[in-house]
Amino acid sequence: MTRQLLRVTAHRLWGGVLVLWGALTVTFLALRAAPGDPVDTVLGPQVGASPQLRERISAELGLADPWWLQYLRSLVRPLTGDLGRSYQLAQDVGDVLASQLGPTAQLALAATGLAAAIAVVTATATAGRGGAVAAWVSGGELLAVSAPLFWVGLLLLSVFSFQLRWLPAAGAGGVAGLVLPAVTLALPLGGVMAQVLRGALDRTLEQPYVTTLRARGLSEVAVRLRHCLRHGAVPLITMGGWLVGDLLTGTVLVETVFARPGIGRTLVTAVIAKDFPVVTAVVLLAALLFLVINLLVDLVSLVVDPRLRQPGRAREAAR
Amino acid sequence: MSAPALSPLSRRIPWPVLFPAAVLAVLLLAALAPQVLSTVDPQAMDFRQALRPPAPGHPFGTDQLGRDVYARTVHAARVSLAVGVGATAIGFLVGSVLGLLAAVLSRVVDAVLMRVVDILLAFPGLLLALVCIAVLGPGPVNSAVAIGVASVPQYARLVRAQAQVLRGSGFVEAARTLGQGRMTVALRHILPNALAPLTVLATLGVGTAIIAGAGLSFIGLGTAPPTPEWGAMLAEGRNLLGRAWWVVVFPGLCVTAAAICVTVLGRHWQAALEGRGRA
Repeated sequence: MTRQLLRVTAHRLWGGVLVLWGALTVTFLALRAAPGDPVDTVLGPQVGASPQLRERISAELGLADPWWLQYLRSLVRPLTGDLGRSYQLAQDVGDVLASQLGPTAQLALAATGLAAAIAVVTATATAGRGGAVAAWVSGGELLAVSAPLFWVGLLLLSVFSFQLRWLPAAGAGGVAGLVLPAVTLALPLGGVMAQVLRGALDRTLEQPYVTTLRARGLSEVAVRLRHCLRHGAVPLITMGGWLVGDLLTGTVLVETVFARPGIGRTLVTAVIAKDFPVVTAVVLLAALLFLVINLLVDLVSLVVDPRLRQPGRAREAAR
Repeated sequence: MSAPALSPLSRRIPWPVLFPAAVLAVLLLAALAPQVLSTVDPQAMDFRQALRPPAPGHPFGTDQLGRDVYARTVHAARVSLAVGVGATAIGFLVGSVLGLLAAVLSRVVDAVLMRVVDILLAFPGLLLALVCIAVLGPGPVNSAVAIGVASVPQYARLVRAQAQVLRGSGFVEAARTLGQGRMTVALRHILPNALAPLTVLATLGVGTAIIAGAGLSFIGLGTAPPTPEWGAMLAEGRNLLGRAWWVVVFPGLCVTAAAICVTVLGRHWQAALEGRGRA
């Protein structure tokens, strides 16, 4: 198993290197394709900058160098931990991201936990059952998955903050301020996860060993929670990469709805200001997260599902 | 004679198809001919009427400038739906061309293009769209382009996979034996047969793109106020939440209805096609 773990890891790492290279290349091309001079972005609205000042900023940004040197620099610098300086904030991009990572991580973790709880409860309760309850639950899931996040957030805000006044309307302060954003982000994720988990549980409940368990007199709850859930969880784990992408997209919208600080809000501000070093860093962060999560997914799948540990199945699992 | 002719039609079309189709028809009417549904000017301000709740004169209430929310919601359909459809068209066209080229041209082109597509698929669509907007700048046209470009990898991958399957089929081999050129075979024989699954992806894509377009406007990167657009209306309504729930409820309802109806129809279309394939 150790060799297989190493092989899966190596395969993932190689794919990850390509994705990181792609991220840096795409953002480098974007920076060069963007109309306008980055020097103007750095200077901001002050119009009367002298040519000497412009030249100095241009030299600091390395814009006077040939394009291939700039490209090489954009590839090598992040490896040394240097993400450059923000055009707008007069701060190192690394520091900017580090200060915004906390609130976003809090939100993402809370939402993931909540979404998993929603999925496990609704799926184990309704899998393999027909009737009105199952129909209502799957209808609710469709609504949770399809309704735009930002609208659901506004509705929750309207009801729970402004009508009932139970929860604060904005800000990152404390647990109370985290409830509505986390719920907003968790609903669509939980909806998708519940659908996937229910599909897997439906298939598992038809297995012969479930009949055996029932014949031995195990209660339905024990059959579902102790035996079937583990099998049903495998497809859920493989969704990890998708989950991270969706969380990242979701935080951009949720942080705007609830006026929370965080990576998403920082990204939107940077996009408006054409602050390319910050945009590049967020894209890089997304690529890195994608790489790490997919590696974890592969390794956890091997641990949870022994069937994947046969030789020859490793490449399949790596995909 | 027309009344009896209708009844077999409604019997043939099940209501899960008929209902979303009817909702979409109303939204399309709002996009193409808003004056049929509302004769009120969506930009007309009346400060004495500001922030009135829904009432007979203003069925969806009024906003902070006294504009009629119903008229604005109706007129917003045009931009919101156009961004969704336009973005899908861009993704569909560019993706199909790239996918077809990958399948038809040399192995090297195929390997390079598909590697790039794989890398791009690793990023969430909204992130790619945001990078595009950082380059192009905000606006409704640019947001449609950005959402479209972000969806190109999906279409390219699907077309390429379809073309790979079709390339080995008998009729393609026959066409080649008859001496038809690579491009002729690709355009006349492979592409038409690859279209069916593409239309499913595109239909589902319109729903996603409508939500993405409204989302970009909501975060201030798409359509800017005072132009009526569902996402921009939600952004304006966000600041009025404490005083006027109706300003955010109705435009959001339209985005949700449009997206769900398109998705439901797309799923039915998919099921119908798969049924045909199995038969």
